[in-house]
Amino acid sequence: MRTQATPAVFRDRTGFPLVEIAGLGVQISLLPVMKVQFEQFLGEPQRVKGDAGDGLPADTYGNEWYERLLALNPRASWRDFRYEDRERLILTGIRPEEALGFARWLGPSFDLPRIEEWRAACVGLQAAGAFRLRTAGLPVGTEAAAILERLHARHGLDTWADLSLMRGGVLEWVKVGSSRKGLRCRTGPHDFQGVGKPRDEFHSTTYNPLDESVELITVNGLRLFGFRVVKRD
Amino acid sequence: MVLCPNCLSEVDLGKAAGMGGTGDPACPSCKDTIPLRYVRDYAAYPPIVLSLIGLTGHGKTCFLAALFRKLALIQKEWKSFCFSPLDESGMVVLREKLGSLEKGLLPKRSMKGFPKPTIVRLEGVPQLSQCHLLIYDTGGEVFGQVGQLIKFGGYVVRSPVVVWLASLEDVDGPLQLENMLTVYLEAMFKLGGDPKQQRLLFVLAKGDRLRRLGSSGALPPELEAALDRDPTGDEELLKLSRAIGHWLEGYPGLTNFVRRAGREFAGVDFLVTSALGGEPNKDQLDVSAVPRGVLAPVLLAWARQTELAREETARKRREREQALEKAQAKNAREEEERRQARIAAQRKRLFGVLGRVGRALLSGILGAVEGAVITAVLWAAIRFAARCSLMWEPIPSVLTTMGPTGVAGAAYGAAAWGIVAGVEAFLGAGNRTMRDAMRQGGIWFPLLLAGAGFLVWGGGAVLELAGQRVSLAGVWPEVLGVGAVGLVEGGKAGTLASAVAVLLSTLVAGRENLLVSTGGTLPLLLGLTVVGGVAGLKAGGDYPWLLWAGVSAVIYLVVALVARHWGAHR
Repeated sequence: MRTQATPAVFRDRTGFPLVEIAGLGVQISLLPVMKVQFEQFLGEPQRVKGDAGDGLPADTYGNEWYERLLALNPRASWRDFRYEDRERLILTGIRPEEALGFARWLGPSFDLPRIEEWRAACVGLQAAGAFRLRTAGLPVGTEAAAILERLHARHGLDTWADLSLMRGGVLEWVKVGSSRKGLRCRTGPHDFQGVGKPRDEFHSTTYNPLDESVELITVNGLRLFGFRVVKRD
Repeated sequence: MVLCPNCLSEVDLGKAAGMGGTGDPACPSCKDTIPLRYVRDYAAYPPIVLSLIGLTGHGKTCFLAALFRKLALIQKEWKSFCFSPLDESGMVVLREKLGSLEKGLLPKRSMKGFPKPTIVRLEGVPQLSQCHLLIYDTGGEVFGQVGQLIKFGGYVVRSPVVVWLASLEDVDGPLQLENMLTVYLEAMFKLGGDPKQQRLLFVLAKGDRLRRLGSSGALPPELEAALDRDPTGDEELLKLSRAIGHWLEGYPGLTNFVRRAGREFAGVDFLVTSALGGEPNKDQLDVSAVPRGVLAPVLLAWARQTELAREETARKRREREQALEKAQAKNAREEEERRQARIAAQRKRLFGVLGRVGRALLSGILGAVEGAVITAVLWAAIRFAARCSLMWEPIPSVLTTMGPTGVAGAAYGAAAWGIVAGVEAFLGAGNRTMRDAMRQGGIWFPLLLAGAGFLVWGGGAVLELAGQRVSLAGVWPEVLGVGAVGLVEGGKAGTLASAVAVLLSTLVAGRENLLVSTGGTLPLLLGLTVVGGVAGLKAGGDYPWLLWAGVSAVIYLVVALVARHWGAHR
């Protein structure tokens, strides 16, 4: 029986869960986009990927591109990962415009979350209480179910909020909106900022994702950035 | 008075601080210029000193850069807040530090040297309003040696609050902090400062790394919370301070440092900051800095300095009140003393009058006795001289004339002498020469004596005449008595008075008496001479008695000759 605060769970085309939180109005990924999840997109024909990443360099989403990402944050097995390796499950090193290509591939309603959506989801999941894998309704044996089950059962992440890895994960790209543009009307990376609260072992930080966000300054910082998606109806 | 931002001395800028000047005034103490806006708006923007101290690499300069960034970020929350550098040099510092941090570059380390403060005007700060923030930062190597600190870190001496940034991860052994404390204290004393008048704000820098200090045990929840969210409220900051202080006291190797600091300074507050909000990649930030807790030292230093200023104002007011109370007490005491003195004077006057009356009575009695004795002796001498005299008049007439009246004369002489002595004693002229008495009472004093003697004699004479018991010739002994009184008591003036009395008595009693009693001329002359001699003796060394005796005799002879001459013509 689902309590009122317990989010409704849906799945995207990769089989990973989206949750709908009361009052939020959008569905948002329960987990940041995982490498195994993103690799489904990478497995698409180049034409499909190219359409998704319209306007990006031709080699985007190519092997070399992906290897550069993996060099920043190597891959870990989703079947058998250690607690301290969990960030390696998450796709990082990606730029926001590249992440948008993945969102478009998921469907026309998919997008990167706006910062307020991300924060509302973070608060909503904190109120959701304890996580039950059965309640989530994920098919057993899928990558998503396996990752969640391992995080939940073996690594002690008991709540929806813990499992969302909004805290204890990586920095995630969010849209900050045009109102934040300065006098220079800059576009590009600064329309996106990072929120989230990584583990100190991954990136020592004092950010409070509910109050603060960070901007990317150097390419090296990309290794800290992943993303999750929202689906707006 | 204005606090010079360069040397932190209270200086009087005089006319330079007026509205007429357009150039930056110079500090009379350090001769350095002070921004004009700082001086003109001094009353509206009280100076808040933020003196940063700390070892090299512990994050002072990063803290400063992060503070500027935070000031820019906090404007989203503080709706009416704005800040600005006060002069061009401040603008350069601000731009450089903000610019480098926005580019992800850690600010360059401060060079050692006596720092010129960066003055930033803060306005619209919740609860604290506005101020000029005077920020001092110098190279950390300055704080490792007493000589260096004296040379380059002198600004700390006059700072009411010093902000010590320390990164526990960068401390080279627990003694390093204690050593710096020792260096700081020694330099303070050598510079004439007193740490007991200062508050220490011990700030744990690079707070984001504290969670990695596993050996120190779990961080206190207040510290954890402060790393997640900026504490700003007074209560929150004080609670955090207590928690960090307690935690640090239990931190391996820091117990002694924490306790020493608590004893050496007027008070110690503890805070935590993370200037960058995350770990830099060498000297480069990969993501933007999100400063944590950098405003807290400013707010707490501000609050503490306001508190100190309030205490100082209260202390001065107390001192003024105490001074006023002292003055009032002194006035009251003096008033009471004056009142007591008045009472005492009144009592003294009362008792003085009574005493003087008593003394006058006693002197009168003694004077009467003395006068009677002298007159009697004098009278005896006259009678003896008259008996022995072979001069001019037949002795029997002298005897009949002088017999009964001689007794009355002695009585009058005694009375006159006693009254005059009493009056004299009452006026406080006893045992003085007439010169002294004249200084006190003027010419009226001897006249008073002479007049008193004359009245006494005159009264006696009238009574005698009325009774017709004796002849007028009997007045001579009385005249003699009066003259004696004047002479004995008054010296030269008394002699004159007696001569006047003789003359007047002669005129009143009749010239005939003088003629009739010419047989007594020799005794009178003799008596008068004796009395003059006695007066001279009593008057003291300035006036030889022989002189007075001679003067008396001459006076009498002149009067007698005049009277005789006058009578002969009649």
